[in-house]
Amino acid sequence: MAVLPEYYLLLSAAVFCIGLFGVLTRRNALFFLMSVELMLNAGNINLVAFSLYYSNLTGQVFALFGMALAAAEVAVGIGIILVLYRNFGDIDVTEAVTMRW
Amino acid sequence: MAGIFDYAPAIALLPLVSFLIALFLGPRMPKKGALAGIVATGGSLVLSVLTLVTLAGPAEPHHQELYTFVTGAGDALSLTFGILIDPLSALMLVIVSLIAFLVHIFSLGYMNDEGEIGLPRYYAGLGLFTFSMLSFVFADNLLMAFMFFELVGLCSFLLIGFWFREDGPPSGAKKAFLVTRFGDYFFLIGVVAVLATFGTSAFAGDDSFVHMAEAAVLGDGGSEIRTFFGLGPQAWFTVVGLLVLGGVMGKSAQFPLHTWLPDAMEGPTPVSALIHAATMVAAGVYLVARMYGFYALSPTALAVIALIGGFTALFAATMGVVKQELKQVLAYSTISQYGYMMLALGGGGYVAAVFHLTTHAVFKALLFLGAGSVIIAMHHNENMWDMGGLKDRMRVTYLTFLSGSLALAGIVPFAGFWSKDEVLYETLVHGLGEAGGTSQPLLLLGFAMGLLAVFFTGFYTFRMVFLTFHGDPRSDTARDPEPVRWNVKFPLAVLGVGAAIVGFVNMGLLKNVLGDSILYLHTWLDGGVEGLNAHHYADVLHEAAGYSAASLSPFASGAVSLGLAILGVLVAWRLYGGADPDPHMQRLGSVRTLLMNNYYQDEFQVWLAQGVTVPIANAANTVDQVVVDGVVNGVSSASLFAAQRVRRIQSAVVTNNAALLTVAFVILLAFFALIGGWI
Amino acid sequence: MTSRPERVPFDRRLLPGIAAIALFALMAAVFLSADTATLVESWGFPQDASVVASIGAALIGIESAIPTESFVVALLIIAIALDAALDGALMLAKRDEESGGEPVADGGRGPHSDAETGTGGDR
Repeated sequence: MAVLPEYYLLLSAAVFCIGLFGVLTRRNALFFLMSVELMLNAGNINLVAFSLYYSNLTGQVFALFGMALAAAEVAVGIGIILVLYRNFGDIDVTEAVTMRW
Repeated sequence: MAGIFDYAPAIALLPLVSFLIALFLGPRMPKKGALAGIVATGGSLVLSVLTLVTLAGPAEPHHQELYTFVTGAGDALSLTFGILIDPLSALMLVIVSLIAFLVHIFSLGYMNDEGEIGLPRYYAGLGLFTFSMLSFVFADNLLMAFMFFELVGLCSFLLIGFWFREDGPPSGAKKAFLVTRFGDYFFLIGVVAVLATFGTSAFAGDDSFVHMAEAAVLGDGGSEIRTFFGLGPQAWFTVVGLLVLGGVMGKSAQFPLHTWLPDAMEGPTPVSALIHAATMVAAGVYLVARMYGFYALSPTALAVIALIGGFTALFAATMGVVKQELKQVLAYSTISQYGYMMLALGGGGYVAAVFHLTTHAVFKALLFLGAGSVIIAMHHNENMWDMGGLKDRMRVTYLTFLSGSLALAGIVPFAGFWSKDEVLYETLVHGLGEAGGTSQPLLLLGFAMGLLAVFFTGFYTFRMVFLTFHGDPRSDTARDPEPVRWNVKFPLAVLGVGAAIVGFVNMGLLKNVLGDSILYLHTWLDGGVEGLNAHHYADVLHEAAGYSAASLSPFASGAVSLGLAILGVLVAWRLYGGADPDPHMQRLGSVRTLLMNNYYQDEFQVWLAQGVTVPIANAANTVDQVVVDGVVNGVSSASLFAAQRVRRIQSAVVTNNAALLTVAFVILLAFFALIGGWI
Repeated sequence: MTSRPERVPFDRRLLPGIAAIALFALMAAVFLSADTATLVESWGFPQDASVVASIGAALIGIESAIPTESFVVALLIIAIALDAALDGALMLAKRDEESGGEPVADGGRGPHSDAETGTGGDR
């Protein structure tokens, strides 16, 4: 009994929107990054699911690369948060608001 | 030789060449451009006389189109330059070039010998003026005439303000230009009206607007013309004629646009002789004569012209009797005499008007040049009360001036007598003719004013002569005047002889005695383009304007006007003829003040400019700044305000940007989902 | 003693989250109404092939039980990207020197700046 593809898509959409919810409401920059990670992983779920349904390994390899890139992005993100803390004294994203009108 | 018409453009172009020579090479020439001007105007004179002679032979009048400067597409009108040489224009060409030639010679004595500076500018101005005036004379359509009309106005401005470093001349030049320009504004509207109504502004030929207008009023050819404001053809032509009359009144210094001419006397006297006596002010009268077939269709316009002319003649003559400066008397005399010409035109005397134009050009130029001679002698002191006794010391000037004065006053057999008598006679007979209509009382009123002005003319003319030349000298300069040379005396002599004999070309008074063949001018003006000659005008006047001539002996009116003129001379002799005349005009008291202040016309016009026009201009300016600029500024400030509010979206909070992004994405996705049928 | 977890504040700051919920609702509507019958018919990998070994073989570009395209170039590029990310993180984490940082471009202060500028901000 196979799992219908719609449920995998639904799972992926749910994880993505949970991550999006976190991006929109979280004030702490580290939680912001975590939410971004969630969104990336939602995309990975999608890739792997369709790799199964199309009997093609490309999706899974691509998901591996995606994970690698997510890791790279987190590394740079942590560096940016460090510099943000140095300049503004707090990692609250709603405090760093100098590039405004 | 018919080939002379090929040289017709050269009549005007020769003075243009002398203008360029005087402008660019003048400072290096010995007489600063005078010789170029003399040669050029001499050449124009020769060509004009040859043209006149050719036309008097069996040659047809010459109508040539020179250049199309706007080509209308399809049925639209095109604007051209062209030449029309017919008896009227040939006569005027001779007059203009003769006076210009003599004035150039006189300028050698008045300007060069007196050591004036800036002479290249002077001779350049004279050359440009002569070119414009000659081009105006042989213009073949109204638009070209308007262009050169304006150009002569410009040259008048330049020449009046020749001594611009003093206070008077620039003010006089500006006033002349502005007052004539005010009239020319109406003229321009008239030109546009003619073009819009007829599609052409040509004077001559079957496709001229004069011919079309006659067809519309007298015949049945009213289909190609358009009238405006729901007026019938004759009423609309009256309106157009009155619009063009605005420019005529400005240029010919008729009331109320006469105020510039006395101030124009600030210019050099040769300029006054050329421009403000004989040629430029004649341009207005010449224009009406050129378009006479058009004006003859409208009795209202003719009555207005006659009334303005008669009134101006009397009005200016009364102002001339109290003036103390020589050129001022002559200026008011010019205004008055042009009033006579307008009276003649309005009264149906086309030949009389042209005749008076001719004789006046000769004797008024003579008087101005004579005044110039006196001014040289008196070291530029123009006040007549400082003169006296000059007749023994300046024989040639005195004799020629006397000839001119007799002509001006209208004493037989000098020129002015014949022409002024013709003017009054024509007005009288058309005023008394049967089946006249409403314009007849107006013609008779004009005649009465003109007749009364004859007395004043004789009086002020000989007041001027007696105060200047007779009696004992009243100042040292008058006792020992500076002698004048041949270049002053030669033009005076030529014009002096002219003033005596030019009247004989049309001795209307004697036509019942000697037969119609002695009316040479009338015969001359009867030739020419069909539709532009004197008997055609008489026909049109009779049919369209209802003018008919009463049969009256010319002796009667001639005797009355001669009597009035002699009476004026005798009164002047009685009051001013003695050895030491009193200033009798002082006894008039407040009347004299009124006349000396020119009936306060100048103050009135200044008030019109300052009291009426400036507030209107201020109101318009306020409307422009508050309303128009307010709308524009309001639009921009609304845009700025909206931008101020909209830019607050740019809060730098990252999550706000993300939220906006998400919302937009959702909306876009929903849109595509609905369109694409995903759901 | 640890402090309790921070409670999620249910206040106005959660309002932008509605956008995320709306997006989920939209995507759910689209996915659930999709027709995937053709997709379910033939799915899955051969039972006896090793999926992980094949993934590894694909990454380094050799043949394997489940044939797939070669990802060698992508592997190398990802390696470079990870290396670059590490260097970037290190560079960001370093403290900026307070004094002496030569600007790469000094705005044309004069001829003597050429002698000192050298290689700019690569320290």
